[in-house]
Amino acid sequence: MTCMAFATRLALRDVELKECTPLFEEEQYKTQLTELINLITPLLDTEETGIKLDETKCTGCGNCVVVCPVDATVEPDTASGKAARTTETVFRVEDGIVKIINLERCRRFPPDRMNCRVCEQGCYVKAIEIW
Amino acid sequence: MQDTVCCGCSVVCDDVAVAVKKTNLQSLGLCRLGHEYCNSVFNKHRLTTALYKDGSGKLRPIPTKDAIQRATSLLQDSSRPLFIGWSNSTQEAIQLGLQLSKNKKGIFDSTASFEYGQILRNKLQGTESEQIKLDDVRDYADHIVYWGVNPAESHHRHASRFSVFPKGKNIPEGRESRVVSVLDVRKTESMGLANHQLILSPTTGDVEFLQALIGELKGTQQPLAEKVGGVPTIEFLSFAKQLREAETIALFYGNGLIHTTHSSQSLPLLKQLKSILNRGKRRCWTFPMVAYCNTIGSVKASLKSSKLPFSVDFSSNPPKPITSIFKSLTDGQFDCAIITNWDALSLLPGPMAQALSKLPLITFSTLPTLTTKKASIVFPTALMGAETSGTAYRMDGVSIPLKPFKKPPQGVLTEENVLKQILVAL
Repeated sequence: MTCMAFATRLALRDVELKECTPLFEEEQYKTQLTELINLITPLLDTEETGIKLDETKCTGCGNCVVVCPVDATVEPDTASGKAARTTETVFRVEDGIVKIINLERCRRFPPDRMNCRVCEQGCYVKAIEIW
Repeated sequence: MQDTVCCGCSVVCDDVAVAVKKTNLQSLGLCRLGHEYCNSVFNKHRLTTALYKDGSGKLRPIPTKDAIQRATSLLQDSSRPLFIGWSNSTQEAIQLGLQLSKNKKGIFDSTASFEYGQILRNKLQGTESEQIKLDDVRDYADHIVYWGVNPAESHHRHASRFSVFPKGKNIPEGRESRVVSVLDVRKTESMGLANHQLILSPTTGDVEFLQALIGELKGTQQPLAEKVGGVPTIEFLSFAKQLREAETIALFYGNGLIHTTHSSQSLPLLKQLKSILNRGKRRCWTFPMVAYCNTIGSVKASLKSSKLPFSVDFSSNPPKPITSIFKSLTDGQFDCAIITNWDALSLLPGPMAQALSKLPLITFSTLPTLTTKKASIVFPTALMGAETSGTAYRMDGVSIPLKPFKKPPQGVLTEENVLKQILVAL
């Protein structure tokens, strides 16, 4: 596997950094190893989809609920602005804060891993970040 | 979970649900503001008994019946009472407040006179021809403008329910089918949603920008400088172009445009802009972003009762408008005031608050506030929407029946109930 292919698979979480043995064994890659560790550390906090939700920033506006294409399919009223009320959606605002209640339905979830970022783009307060 | 209606702000969300637990509330769909508002039924500082200020100036608990008697006698002794607040009251309570003001030949005023004044008068009296609803914005508006208002902080669900994100009849792709512009004097969170993020200079930026925009749309614009009202000319021209190309524009404006030292210039210019944008097939709708949940209801009720939107003097027949509530208060024209669910002493300008605090005050409140501290009589009240039935009017004038989810605490009555008893006693 080439370095580029490994990097892509690393970003997709198909491989782990430790699987690149030269990085750890050869002195010349020491700086690169440190940089890579810094780069992927935030990923460790994210969900399987790369979505990072900061509940302390969330205002419960529901923008993510309304823009999510999965929510629009499973609970069509959300697409026209209504609050998510069923247990079928990806996002639902509970107690004033959004929760991801069906992560496995997100379009970013393996194996599809679509590069969908609409929830991140719709978030006023940057409570949703995608890594 | 049971359906309810949130009275936390003027969006009055009616698609939400709550479950009442022993010491807290679980909610679905309520934003952070709305959840905190509804959850305040469990606030440990809540007022649960009527209070009366004794000779030593301390507030002491008294039975509600006695408080009603004392309030009645205060009003009986008053020759010029002021009835103020009303934007956080149900429509039914407001009507009783108007009746009380009429019977006592007092002055009725709501927070509308401090918020949007003349604008609401024009909107609700029909000088503005359209009575457009937020549902029309969702269905048809392809250019959304927020001017001097930051819904990300003040009306959390406004963009997701009605303006920016939802799909509608002529808006098949939701956000992708709309252009969004936000104008303010600083970078706001709402600008994160916008195609056009226009930061105006804080002095007279809005007046210069409006004048130039009107000129540009009319085709009479003189050569432009490098910046227009603080906005780079290239951004100004791009915004003007997209306004010209839009089919339906919904413009929401707030305190940032209204409460400036030069609003006497900017508001007529806004009106002129609207009329230019309304030419041909293009439509332009404007909405003041009122803050409180029933400001519109208070204006509607006042118009119906007196043909005046607020600041009504019932001492003459027909009732007259008072020229300035600011002046009337600071001139000491009142001898007693009823303040309903509004922390007037914290929110009014210093000289007005000072003048008000010197009067015998009868206040209605769910929580202790600066106003209740200074009051002669305090009535603890049920939380609007959460513990009261009745009606509220959304910011676009749609009436929404409230769906209470809890009974008020033992001994706590609704504002409507107390006002009715005072009215009967008088």
